[in-house]
Amino acid sequence: MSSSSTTTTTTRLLMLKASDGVTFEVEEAVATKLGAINNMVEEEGSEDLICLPNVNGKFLGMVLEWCKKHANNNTNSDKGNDEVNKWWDKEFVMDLDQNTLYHLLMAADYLSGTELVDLLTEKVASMIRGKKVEEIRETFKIKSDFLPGQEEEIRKKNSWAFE
Amino acid sequence: MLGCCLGLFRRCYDLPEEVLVEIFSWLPTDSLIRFKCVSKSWYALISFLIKNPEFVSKHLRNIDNKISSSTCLVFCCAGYGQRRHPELKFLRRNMFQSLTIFHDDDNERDFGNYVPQHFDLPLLPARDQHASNVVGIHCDGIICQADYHGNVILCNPAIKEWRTLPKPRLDDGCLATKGVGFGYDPRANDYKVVRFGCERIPRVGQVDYSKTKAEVYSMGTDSWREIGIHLKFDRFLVRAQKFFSRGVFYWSMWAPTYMVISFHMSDELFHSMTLPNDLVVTQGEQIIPTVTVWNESVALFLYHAKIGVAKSFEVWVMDDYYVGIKGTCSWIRKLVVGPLVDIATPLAFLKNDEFLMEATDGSLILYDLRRQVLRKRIQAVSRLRCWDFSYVKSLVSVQGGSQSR
Repeated sequence: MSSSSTTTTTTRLLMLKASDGVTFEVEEAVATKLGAINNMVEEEGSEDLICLPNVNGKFLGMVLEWCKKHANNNTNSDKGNDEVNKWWDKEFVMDLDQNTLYHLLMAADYLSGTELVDLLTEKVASMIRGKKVEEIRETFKIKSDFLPGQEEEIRKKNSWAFE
Repeated sequence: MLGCCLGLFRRCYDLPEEVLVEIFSWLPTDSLIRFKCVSKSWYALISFLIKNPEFVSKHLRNIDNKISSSTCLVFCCAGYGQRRHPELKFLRRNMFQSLTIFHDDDNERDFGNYVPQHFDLPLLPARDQHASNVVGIHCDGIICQADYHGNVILCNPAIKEWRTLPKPRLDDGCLATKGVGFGYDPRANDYKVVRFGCERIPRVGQVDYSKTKAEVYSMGTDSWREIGIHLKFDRFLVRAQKFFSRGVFYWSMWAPTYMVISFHMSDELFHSMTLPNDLVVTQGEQIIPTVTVWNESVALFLYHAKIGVAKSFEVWVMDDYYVGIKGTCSWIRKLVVGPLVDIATPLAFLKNDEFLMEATDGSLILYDLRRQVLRKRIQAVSRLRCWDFSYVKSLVSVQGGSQSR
């Protein structure tokens, strides 16, 4: 996957301010792994303080931790990087509780961290794949709004998927 | 596990649609289709997505991704002609079997992480009496079944779609088919079937087979057209392996020396390739070559034919990217597996650096390439196997028109 590559060798520092006021000092090369921040940097140029009113400190911290790891791994020699990243990603999502996973996913989506969204949505998919329809409704707090008979019809049409 | 999932996303009804789409793109095809029943909005979204070429190709990339944790192999297990006989109903029902092998890192769980299943596929008209005369090939979730008389069925069992192809231009009477292939042409964004063989030209007292002919079917146009071929074949060649990888289809055959023929799906050119060190192997000799795919590269096994002794398998990997185009190629000797006892044939490389072999007793054996140890024995598949290929459940339609990838 192509990421926004920065050719600057000087490490510029950005200040990121979360909704609860917590601030993070991050290298530009790390923060611009997030599409939203990359855009802001390109648009606003000289502005060093970026306010992120939709993410709180805890989850912003986690997102940045992920960015940092990936930025570091990518500056090393290319070989074996994929392996290292994959291994690290696996560790990163392994023990996430549901609440954290949800907020992290919302934060990653808001910040346009495409690769992180990939990682987290894959994790969610791995938790719901193979589940029954009723379990999915329970999980996502969704009420069936089909008219009587409609659901039956869909089930019948796709019966092999319910075996 | 289930308990920990319930209540997940307690507040998730406000998941943005773009995030939901991302989650859906990682779901297995059958789960996704089942989840149409969750609610009206899920039904509408999923119904839209599975017809959307962009989503279908994203889904394919995701499920086909190397980090995916299982490999599904499909086997043709019984003689194709046997389905005609009612007393062999059992064989007919079990003609196609699938075997899903789950790769997990905790190697200690040595048993139980594979699932054998009956595999439902439409059947070709029964003309040939033996399954070895029916080709089974796979690309992107589409299974291509073909015989050597021009009958071809494309089907995607995961979405229950199939189509019988129109009659080829080169008909059975004038073409002795030598090979059938199927794959994806990234340039034209189209799936293609290719067949080639020797033209039958009656001469006084005999038939001349010296002229080769080939034709290509395009799913986009739903029609066959003849193409050029400059290769010459021995009339009596014996077909061996075939597979598609990265835009090129490969056949190996004994003609009577071992040869590998490639067909570039976009350029529509055939080439014949040399073995490592220009090795020439004739059928019946001590050395057996077998071609397969390893991490999308073409790989070659070389091993001794002798049964009952410990065998080593040399694994050579083709050096170039699109070797098929050039006709010449270089091979690199990557590794040697073994020596191992009671192994008959190497079958395929699976994900996660696992390697599948057939034992002399007909069972399948999984081998860990990284640690160089045997992992487990699989007794699940009947040894009447005639061909096999690995398979992914995709949403790719065989109905033609605008295809996706």
